[in-house]
Amino acid sequence: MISDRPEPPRRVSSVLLPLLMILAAFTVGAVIPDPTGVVWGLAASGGTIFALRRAGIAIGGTGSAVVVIAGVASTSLTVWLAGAETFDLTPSSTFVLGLVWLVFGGAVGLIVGRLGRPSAGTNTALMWAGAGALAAPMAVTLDLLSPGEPDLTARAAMAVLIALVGGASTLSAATGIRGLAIGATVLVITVFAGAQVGFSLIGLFQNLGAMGDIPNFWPPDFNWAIGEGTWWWLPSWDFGSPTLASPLLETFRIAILGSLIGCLVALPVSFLASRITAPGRLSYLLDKGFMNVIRTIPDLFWAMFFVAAVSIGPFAGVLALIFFSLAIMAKLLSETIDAVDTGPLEAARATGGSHFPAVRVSVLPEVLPNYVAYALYILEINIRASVVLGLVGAGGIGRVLEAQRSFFQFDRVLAVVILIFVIVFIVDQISVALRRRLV
Amino acid sequence: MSTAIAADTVVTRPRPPLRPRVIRWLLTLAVLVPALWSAFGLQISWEQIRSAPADIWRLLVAMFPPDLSPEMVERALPKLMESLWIAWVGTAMGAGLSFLFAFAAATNVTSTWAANGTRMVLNAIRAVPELLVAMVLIPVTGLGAWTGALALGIHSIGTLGKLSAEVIEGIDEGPVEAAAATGGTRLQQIRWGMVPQVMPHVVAYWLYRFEINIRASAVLGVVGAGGIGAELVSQLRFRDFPRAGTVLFLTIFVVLAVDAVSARVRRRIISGQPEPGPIALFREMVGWQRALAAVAVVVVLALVVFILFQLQLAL
Amino acid sequence: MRGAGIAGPPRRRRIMIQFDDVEVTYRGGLRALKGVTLTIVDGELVVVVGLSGAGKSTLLRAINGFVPITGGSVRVGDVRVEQARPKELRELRSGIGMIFQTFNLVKRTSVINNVLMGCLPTVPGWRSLLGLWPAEAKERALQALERVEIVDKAYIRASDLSGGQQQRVGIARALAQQPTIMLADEPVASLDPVTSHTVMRDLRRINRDLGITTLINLHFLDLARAYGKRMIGLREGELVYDGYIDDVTEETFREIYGRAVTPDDLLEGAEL
Repeated sequence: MISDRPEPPRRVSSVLLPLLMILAAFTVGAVIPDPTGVVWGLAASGGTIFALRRAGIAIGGTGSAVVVIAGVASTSLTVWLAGAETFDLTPSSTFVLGLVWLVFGGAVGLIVGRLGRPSAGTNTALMWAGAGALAAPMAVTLDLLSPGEPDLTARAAMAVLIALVGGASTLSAATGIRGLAIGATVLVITVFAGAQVGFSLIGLFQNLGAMGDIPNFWPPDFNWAIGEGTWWWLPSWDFGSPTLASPLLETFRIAILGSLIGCLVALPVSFLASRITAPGRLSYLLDKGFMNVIRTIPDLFWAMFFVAAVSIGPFAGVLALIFFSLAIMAKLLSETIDAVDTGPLEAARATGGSHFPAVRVSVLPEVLPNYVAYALYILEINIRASVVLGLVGAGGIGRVLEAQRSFFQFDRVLAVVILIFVIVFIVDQISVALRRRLV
Repeated sequence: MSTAIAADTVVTRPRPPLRPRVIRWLLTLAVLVPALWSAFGLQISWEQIRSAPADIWRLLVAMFPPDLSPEMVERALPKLMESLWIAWVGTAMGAGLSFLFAFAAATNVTSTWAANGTRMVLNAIRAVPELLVAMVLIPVTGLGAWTGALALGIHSIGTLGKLSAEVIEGIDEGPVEAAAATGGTRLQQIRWGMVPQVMPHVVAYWLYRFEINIRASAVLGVVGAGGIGAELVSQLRFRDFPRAGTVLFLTIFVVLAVDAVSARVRRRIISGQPEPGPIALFREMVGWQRALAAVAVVVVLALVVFILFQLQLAL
Repeated sequence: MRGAGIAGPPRRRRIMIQFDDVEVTYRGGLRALKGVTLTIVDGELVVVVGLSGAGKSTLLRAINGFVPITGGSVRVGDVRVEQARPKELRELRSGIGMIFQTFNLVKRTSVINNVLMGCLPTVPGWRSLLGLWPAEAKERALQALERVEIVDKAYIRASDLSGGQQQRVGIARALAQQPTIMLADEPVASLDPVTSHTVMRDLRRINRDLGITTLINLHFLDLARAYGKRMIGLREGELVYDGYIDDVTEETFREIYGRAVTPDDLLEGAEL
C-alpha cells in the first residue's frame, strides 16, 4: 500500500530566504535616488511577490497588479509626506503614515487571506500599517530622518523597519509559522527601545575602564557607615549621625509595621476579590478592579504621595508599604482562594450558616498556610522596598543614602549599599527557609 | 426542632491537645512583639495618625482632576514612554543573560555543587533593589535612561535566573533521556529535550518580569536614572498637585493596559490554546456586563484619542 | 423510637416534605426534574435510586434550596422553599443536615472544627469569625462525634483520616446541626464495600434512634434493598416508582434503569 508522505512541517529557517528577499528589495529600492518614490514602490512590491512565490504561494496576474499598484501608492505617498517641508512628527502624521501603509498591507493581506484564513489576512494588513506608522518615529529617534529632507538613508532605514515587520508577518500568515512575525516584531521593538535608552556596549566598557578616575567612589567607606563603638565588635551603626535613631532599625520597623497592617487589611479584601467567596458579582468586580488599579502604583510612588500628604518621616513610609503590601497580598491570596475546593463551602452553606461565617470556617483554614507564606514573602519584599523609601523622605536608611549621594560621597553610598545587600540577603535566606517549611 | 443526640457508646473522649495552642500563642507572640517594637520605635504621634485620613483626602482632591493640558501631556508622555523602553531593554537584557545562568543553576544540568554556587550568585544579585543598583551605577555610567536599563537588567538576571532554574528543574526527564538514548551530545539533549519543555514557562516569566520592571522603571527617575519618576518628584516638590495627578493617572493607565495585554499573552503561552477574542468575550456576557463593558471601552478609547489630540496640539 | 421508616402514603404522621409538580430546568436548558410529586412524612427513611443524571441530586438539593425550582412547589415543614427569603432559607437549612459524596471536609483543620461547622447557625457571627466557639457548641460537636463513634479522632487533622472515617465526620457535622431532616447525596459512592456498609448502618441507626427523616441517594441496588424501607425511583427527571422496597422486582428496576440490572449496579457485584 502506497500512501502519500505528508508535507513536512515548515520551520522558521525555510522562510528566512524569502524574508531576506523582501528586505533586500525594499532597501535597494529605497536607496535608488528617485524623488517620486515610484522606483521604491516597484522594487518593494516586486520583491514581495517574488518572495511569496519563493515561499510556495502563487499569485495570479490580477493579484500581482493590485499589489504593485498598492506598493507604488504607499511608497510614493510616504516619500511625499515624510519629505515634505511641513512634516512634523505628531500623532496625526504617524496615523496618516499608518493609513498609507494600510494600502499596501491591505493588498497583500487580501492575497494571503484568500489562502484560507481571513483573520491572517487582517493581521497582515494591520502589521504593515503599524510598521508604516512607527517607521518614521523610529527613523527620527535613530537620528536618520530629519523632516523636510528626502534623505536616502532615512528612506533606507524606514524601508528596513517596514519590510522586517511587514514581510515577516506576511510570510507568517502565508505559511502558518507564527514565530517569524513575533521574532521580527520583538527584534524591531528591542532595537528601537535600545536606541531610546542610549544602549552602547562600547560606552559601557569605556565607563567601566574609567572607574578608577571617579572621585570618592572606591574603596567603600565602611568606617564611616558602621562607626566606632564601645568595642570593636560592637560598632555604633550611626551612619555619621549619633543623635538620630538608627536609620537601619527604622527601616526594619517600617517594613514590619507596613507588612503586618497591609496583610491584615488584605485578608477581608482578598475574600471579596475572589469569585468564590465574594457575596455578589458586582462587589467582586468592583473590588477586583480597584485592586488592579492599586497594583499598578509602584512602591516609591506611594511613598511620594504619602510624603506629600502627611509630611516627611517614617509614618509616610508605613502608609506606603501598607498599600503596597495590600496590593500584592490581595492578588496572591484571591487567586489562591479562586483555586480552592468549593465543597466545604457548600457544606457550610448547607448547615444554614450565613455567608461570612461559612467562608471563615470552610475556606480560611484551607488558605491559611498560603497566607502566612505570602506574608513572609511580602515582609521580604518590604524590607527591600523600605530601604529605598528614604530616597523620597519616607524614613529609613534610604535617607542616609540620599544625603551622601547629594554630597557625591559615593564611597559612603557604596558602603551602605553593601551593608544593605548583606542584611537583605540574610533576611531572604531566613524567609525562604521558613516558607519552604510552611507550604 | 432540636433532637437530643446523647451518647450511648463507650469511646472515651480525648483531651484537647496542648501543642496547637502553644504554637498558636508562640506565633501570636512572634507577630505581636516585633509589631509593638516597631510601632513604639517609630515615634509616630497620635496627632499624625488622627489627621492622616483628612490629609490624604485633601491631597487626593487637589490631584483631581489631573492637568491634561497639551503642555503637560507633552511633558509627561515621552517620559512615560521612556520608562516603557527602559523596562523593555532591562527585561531583554535580563532575559537573555538569565537564560544562560538558569541552566548553570539547575541541578539536573550541571553538578549540584556548581548549581548551588550559581544560585547563590543569583540570590545575591536579587538582594539589591534596582534603585540601589542604579545609584551605584550612576557615578560609572552617568545619569540617564541607559543606567536605569542596566540596573533593571542586572536585577532581572537574579530574579529571572532563579525562576527559570526552578522551571528547568521541574521538567519531565523522559525527553532528555530519549535524546540521550539516540546518542545526542549533552548540548543536543538540552536543546531538544529541555528547551522545548521549559520555553513556554520561561517566556511567561519574562513577560511577568516586564510587568514588574515597568513599575520599577517608573521610580528610577527618583535617583536620576531616566523615566517618569523624575517628573513626579519635581511636580510634588513644586506642590503642583494637578500635574502630579497627571503623572499618576497616566502611569496607572499605561501600566493597566500593559498588564492586561501581557496577562493575556501569558495565559495564551502557558495553555497553548488560543484565547477567546474580545468579540467572543463580549458575546458570552449577560446584559448588565455588556453595558458595563461597552461603557468601559468607549471611555478608554475616548481617553486615548483625547490624550493623543492634546499631544498633537502641543507638538 | 422504633417504627421509623414507615413507607407508603402518609396517614397520621406529620408531613415533612411535600413536592408538588416540581419542575427544575437548568440554565443550559437541561430538564432535571419533570413534574415530580411526592410526600415524605416525619421519621421516614427513603432511598432514591436512578441512573446518574436521572435527577437524584437535583431532588435532594431542591429540598434545601441549593437548586432553585422552576415550577411547582416544595414545602418543608411549614416553609415554602421557593418563596423563602435568604434569612428564612438559612433557618430552614439549619434544620436540614447534608452529607456529600466527596465528604466536603475542610482538610487542613481538625475534625472537631469540621463538626463545629454544624453549629454555625446557633453561634453569633463574631464568635464563629474569631473561632471562639461556646462550650455548648463544643459539647454538641463531641456528642455528634460520639454518635458516629470517632470521638477519639476529634483533634486530628481531617486529611489524616481514611475515607470511611471522613464520611462519618461528615455525618457528625450534619448531626451537630440537630436536624430534623438528613439529606445524603451518594454518601458511599467514594467508599469501598466494607466501609459503605458501616456508613449505611450509621445512617439507618441515626434514623431509627433519633427519628430524623432521612433521604439517601444511592446508585447500588443491593444497598438500597438492604437498608431502605421506602424507595423512590427516578428516570430522566420523572418519578417512576414510589413504594415499599420489599415490593420491588426485577421489572421495577428495569423500568427505573431502562435496562436489566448489571453487576455494575450492585455494590458487591452479586445477583439480586
